Amino acid sequence: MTNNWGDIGNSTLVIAMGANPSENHPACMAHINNARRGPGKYTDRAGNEYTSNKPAAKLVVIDPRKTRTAVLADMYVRIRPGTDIAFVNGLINYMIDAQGTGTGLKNGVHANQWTRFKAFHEATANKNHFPDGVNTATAITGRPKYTDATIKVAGTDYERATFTQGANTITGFPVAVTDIETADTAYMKLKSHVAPYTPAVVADICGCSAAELITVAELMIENSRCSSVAADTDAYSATVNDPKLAGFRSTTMLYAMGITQHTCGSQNVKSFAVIQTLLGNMGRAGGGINALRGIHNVQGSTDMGLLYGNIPAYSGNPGVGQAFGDYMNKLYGNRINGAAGAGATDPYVYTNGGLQQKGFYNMTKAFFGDSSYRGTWDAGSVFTETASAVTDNQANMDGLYAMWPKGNGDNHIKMFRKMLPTYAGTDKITACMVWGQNPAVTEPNQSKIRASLKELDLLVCVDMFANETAMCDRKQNGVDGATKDGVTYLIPACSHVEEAGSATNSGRVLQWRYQAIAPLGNSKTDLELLLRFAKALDGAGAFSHIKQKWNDLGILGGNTADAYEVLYGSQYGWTWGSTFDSETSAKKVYKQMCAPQGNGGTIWIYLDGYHWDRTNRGGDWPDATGATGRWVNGVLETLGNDYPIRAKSRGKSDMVVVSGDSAAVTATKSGNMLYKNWGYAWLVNRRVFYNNGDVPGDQADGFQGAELVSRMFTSTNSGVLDYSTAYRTYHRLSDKVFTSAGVQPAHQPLAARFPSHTEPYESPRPDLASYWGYNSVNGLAIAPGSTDNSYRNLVPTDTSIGAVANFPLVLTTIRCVEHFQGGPITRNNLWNNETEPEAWIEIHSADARKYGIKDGDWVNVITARSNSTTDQTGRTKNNVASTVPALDNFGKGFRAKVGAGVDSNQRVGQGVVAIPWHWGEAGMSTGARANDLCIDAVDANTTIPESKACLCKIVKA
Amino acid sequence: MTLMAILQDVDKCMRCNGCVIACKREWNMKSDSIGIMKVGVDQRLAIKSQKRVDMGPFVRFTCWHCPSPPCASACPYKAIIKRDNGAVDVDESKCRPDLCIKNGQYPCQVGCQRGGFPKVGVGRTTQTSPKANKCTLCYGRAGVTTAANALPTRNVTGLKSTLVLKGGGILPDAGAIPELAHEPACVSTCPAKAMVWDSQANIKAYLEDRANGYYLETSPGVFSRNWLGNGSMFWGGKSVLLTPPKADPLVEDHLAPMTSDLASAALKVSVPTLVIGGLAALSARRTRIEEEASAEGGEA
Repeated sequence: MTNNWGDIGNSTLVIAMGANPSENHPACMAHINNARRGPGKYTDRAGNEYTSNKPAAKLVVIDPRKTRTAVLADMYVRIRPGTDIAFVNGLINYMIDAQGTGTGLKNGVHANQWTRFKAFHEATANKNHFPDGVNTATAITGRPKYTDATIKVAGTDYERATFTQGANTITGFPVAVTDIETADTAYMKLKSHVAPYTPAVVADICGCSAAELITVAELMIENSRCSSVAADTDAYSATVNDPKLAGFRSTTMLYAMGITQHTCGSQNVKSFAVIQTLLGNMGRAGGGINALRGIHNVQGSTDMGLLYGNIPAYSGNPGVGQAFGDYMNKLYGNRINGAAGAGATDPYVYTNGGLQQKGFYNMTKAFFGDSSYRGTWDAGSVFTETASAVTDNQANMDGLYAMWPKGNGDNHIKMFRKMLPTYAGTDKITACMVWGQNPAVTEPNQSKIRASLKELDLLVCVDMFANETAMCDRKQNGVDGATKDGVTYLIPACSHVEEAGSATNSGRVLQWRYQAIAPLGNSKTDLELLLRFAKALDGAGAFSHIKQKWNDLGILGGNTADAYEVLYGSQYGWTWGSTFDSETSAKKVYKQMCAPQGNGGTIWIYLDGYHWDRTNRGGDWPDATGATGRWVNGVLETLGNDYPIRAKSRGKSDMVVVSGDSAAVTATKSGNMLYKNWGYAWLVNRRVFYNNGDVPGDQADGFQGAELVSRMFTSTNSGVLDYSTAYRTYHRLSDKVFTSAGVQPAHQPLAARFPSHTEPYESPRPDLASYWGYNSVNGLAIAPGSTDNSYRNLVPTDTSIGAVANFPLVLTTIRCVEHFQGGPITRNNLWNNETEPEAWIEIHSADARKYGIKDGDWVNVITARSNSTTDQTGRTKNNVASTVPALDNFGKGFRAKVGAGVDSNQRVGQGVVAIPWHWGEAGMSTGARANDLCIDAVDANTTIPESKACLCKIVKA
Repeated sequence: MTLMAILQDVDKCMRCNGCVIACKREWNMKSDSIGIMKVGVDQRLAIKSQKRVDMGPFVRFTCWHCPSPPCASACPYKAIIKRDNGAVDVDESKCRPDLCIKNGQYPCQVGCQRGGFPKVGVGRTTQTSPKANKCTLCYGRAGVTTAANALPTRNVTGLKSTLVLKGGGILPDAGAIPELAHEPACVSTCPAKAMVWDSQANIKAYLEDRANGYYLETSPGVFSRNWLGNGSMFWGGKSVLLTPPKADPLVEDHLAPMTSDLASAALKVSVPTLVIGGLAALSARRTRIEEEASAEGGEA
């Protein structure tokens, strides 16, 4: 999310594209409902009455499926799965009049909007620049303030030239002009890029009507920054940023898996960024692009770097052969002179670093040495910190840094392929630990996954339930050529209410969760299991290389040290043999994570989110009087300082200023429902990202580098951008577009630099695929067996790909409100099973008639990879003893839900089959598994599979 | 004791079934009847689609909490009681379905022509013999009697109504309403905030205020009331035409329409709430779909 949940209420147009908040993010609908209220008097949660004149928001749903969100919407547009970019580019085409026929903003009726639109893109500001070898900023005057619309493009990069201002000379500096309509600006390049996406072309690709496209485009123009009424031509003042005013207009775009689960998923999201940047809706109240996260703490897991290519807080993995200083220099922070630079830019001097660099410095000490708390707490604080026993010097830092694993791990597709019996490499994976996941339901193309899991020597599952993964078929000595038994362990984890810890929601607000009850039975909290695991590894000698390194450095007791105690026990407060205290240990992790960096903080984006009186950034907690405590059922319970932070009570929110508020209280209230002081969120308590400090009451954005603007164009330049302190290494999208002839489409020379339409890997329109192409990855083979720069290289070569002649229907996966992800939690819950007992398909009545299927029939869905009834190779049947009647529908296929009436009254359009993917063969409720069928083609940047579009056929089971 | 009520804003309901699960959890309801669109003894409330195939608007099917409930007067053992806060409550200790059943029918069910009639059976895990089960506005659980779970939802006193009369004017119960702290489980859990718990007088004033939008302009200058309810359960809609949630269809509603839809719109008769009525409705709907399909054939 660039904004946050509460801010959705500030919108005047909510576009949900590839998202179904009614069923998948129900709490989101309360915020949408807030936005849909018209002008009137309202009361905030604290009971204060206020007046809002903001017009009621419209809700537009663009989706292949008429979801329960769509039936509540003001407008619903049905598009074919996998055609989102074509639709968005079609909107842009119409808005900026790429045809030159006077549409959109170039229509005379929008003359004022065009003036404000142009002024916004052409606005300039002074931005900081760091000349070579200098660590202090110089202001570069007259740089683009908000967007790259006035920066010129040459080839596949920005046009660059030597820039001189006073004594500063910068080479390779992007060239900016003053008028967006100058030839070769990013704006003009975008205009020519979207020119092929005429309403008629988009209607053909998407299966919607041109009129629907134009209606959405007009709605977006009318609900963007250029339509917010203000006296100044800049069109961006506090006047247009107060969402309680009648003239306020803002569009927010919500998305979820419907956008990301494509081979072009990142480009889909980028297309949102382009259109919202173009319309000036980034960094505004009620604007932005907002990812609705599927799990309560998935944002936290991303922040903590649980992916194969990241370490915590969005730092890339240290590279093979990369020295400490070189690595630090790539992080967001200050310029550092290489490996062993001297003076003010020495990377080994802690204070030289910027935010991300200091975080990494602390993390390196905490992970491979002792914790690195620095300085002292306030007098009277109960927190007593011990300074690190490891002296800050080059030898020690190099030594600790050497212990970081270097290079990236394997993505999930490659990882399972490396377990296969047929895998011939020396790096075959023979043991796997699955912690809180259920890949035997959630991974696409299950035939490969099942063969992989079966082949493992050791499989350890940590879960609340005996899920499909824990129950999967395993090899047996002497059977089918296996030479040993495959061993599975299931370790019982407790539920989230049985352990303490923090969660980070989609809007990056941190929330502390207390342990409600002790873990039941033999189950244990995740943290205790992790610490026990570490202790066991230490006991088995797995940390001997660490102790040897300490020995070489002469620190921390060397070879005789208790490595577990140094690395874990002393840092997280649990000594082997003692009773584990979830609250205490989780709090210590949280403290390390959210502490100010001077006190050992490791996660720079959570900086200062630690303790209410530690900071002026986190706001006052729990109230402004200085009292400490926590809110329990609305009552302030006074506690000592020794209590972890928790999100500020909403009852004390700063939602609106009311009469009688003192000047001091008024100053703490943003007055625009941004919940400025509510909780602790990114970045260091921002509420609207990329805001350039324009949103009143919110934290100013620190990213003010000379080239730092919201970008519509994606440069190919992936080098270090050495103009500022901020984000000097840009992560480029790795997409490259090829037609089936192996060439880039001639009419899309800037494909992937700007988002361009590509067909799903299994496309029902081969004619469009040969013209527009498929998305591929550039420069790195992401799937096993595929080669770089080849056509359709995002799918493993051993995956079967179907053609429309044999598989005429498009399969798209969906979720339902009653079940959650891979299903272990909800399919083992009586009430959830009662409300949604079986897996189904949704199908159009015309298709049902064609294939002889009636409502309520069981249907076998068949793809090039598997089917839903007879192909059960490697699958195990549910054999969990249960006292309740199991809903055993496994192997029956899917129950048909056939639409009725006109197209607009049906869930899916003709030619589309929608399937929920929650079911499998284990648990109380079993059912056909969508991922038996789905293709394991993946996105070029994120490796998310293309779950939303593959080809299938259906027969009555 | 203030006369309280629930208002469901059908424009906001998204049928997440959160209220259904919250109700079942709060009252220890069982879950052995598969399928949510059912008339099970474990079903105190259900959310159903007014249009077929789950296309909304989504309406709460539950007891209307009539001012003079026919079920209460029909009960020979005075087990069904109209409480001071508006709830039509069941005193389980007095309920004797084994004795009151007559000609295969329970008296409390016969007179009810609205959704949410009492369902008789062992609906709760705490019940050992068949009892009448129905929505009670979480009476007892809300702490106004010693029965059941005496926990209020919110431990806050001095709560005032959050309803605002856009047309101006002052709410009838503008001061603190103690019962606001006793939110029913369904209202408390609703993620979309589609339900309001307030005094009946406030809710009626809110609905009757034309500026709040619960009167639809059905023809130029003609506004017709688009809200329902006269007891302690109200429904309101600002954009979609509301049909009364009168009966309970017996099967999943992707198979069957709301019987009341047919009843009020097509048949103009009251709908029996027993099995035979559901089957008749199902059959009627099939016919209607076929008719529509052939009528729509021309457009396609």
